[in-house]
Amino acid sequence: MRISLLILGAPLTTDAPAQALRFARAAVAAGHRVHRAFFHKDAVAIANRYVSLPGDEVDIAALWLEFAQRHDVEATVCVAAGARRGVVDEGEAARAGRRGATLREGFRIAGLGEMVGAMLESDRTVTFGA
Amino acid sequence: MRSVLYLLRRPPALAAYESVEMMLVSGVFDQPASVLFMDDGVRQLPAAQDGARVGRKDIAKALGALATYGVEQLHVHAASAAARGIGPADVALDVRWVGDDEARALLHGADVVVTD
Repeated sequence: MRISLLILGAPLTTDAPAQALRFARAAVAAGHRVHRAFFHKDAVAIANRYVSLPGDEVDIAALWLEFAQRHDVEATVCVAAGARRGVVDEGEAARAGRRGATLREGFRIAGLGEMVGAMLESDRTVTFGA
Repeated sequence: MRSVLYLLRRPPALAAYESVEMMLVSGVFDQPASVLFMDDGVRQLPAAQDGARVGRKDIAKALGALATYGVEQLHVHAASAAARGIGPADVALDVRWVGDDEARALLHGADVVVTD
């Protein structure tokens, strides 16, 4: 089965990205394919490359990227939600008249159309709310 | 085409507005989309709300645009609204008032449920 994930909750103050990752791992282990993970609303904070965590805290972004790479999952970040929260790639930064991307390497900025597209292309879409 | 039900349960804030943005995109894609306002989500609906008074963008205009984008089925969980003192007279949008059974049927009937 082809599954897409919509992740809404912030990485530090909610369990949504971690829960979504556990779900994604279980889905792959059960023989399913995770097509796209779309980070929207406060979940976009996961893709901020300036996040600097104390050494004893879990880097959920790194775990997500490792999973995405290993299983060929698209880790996408909503362009509008990202812009509101300062998570931008070079193109979006330039568009806003700023210099320098804040997007962590491995994530990709995408429009909401890609999430709706993922819904239409997937057998199941699972939301991980705030 | 896969249908989607947007389930709004949170009070008016940016999160709800960002849900509406996704609904509009569903509309652009001609995806069969409907909305169910439940719990504190019903607080999006009163016509008399004025976001500017608390420094917030008003969601009413965005909700009003949904029909233009083809998202025409707006449902309100009547018990949630009643519990918050909101009745049909307070809502200017074209909405359908539903009971528990119908709300349940909406949740089960959609291919995808997107929460807020």
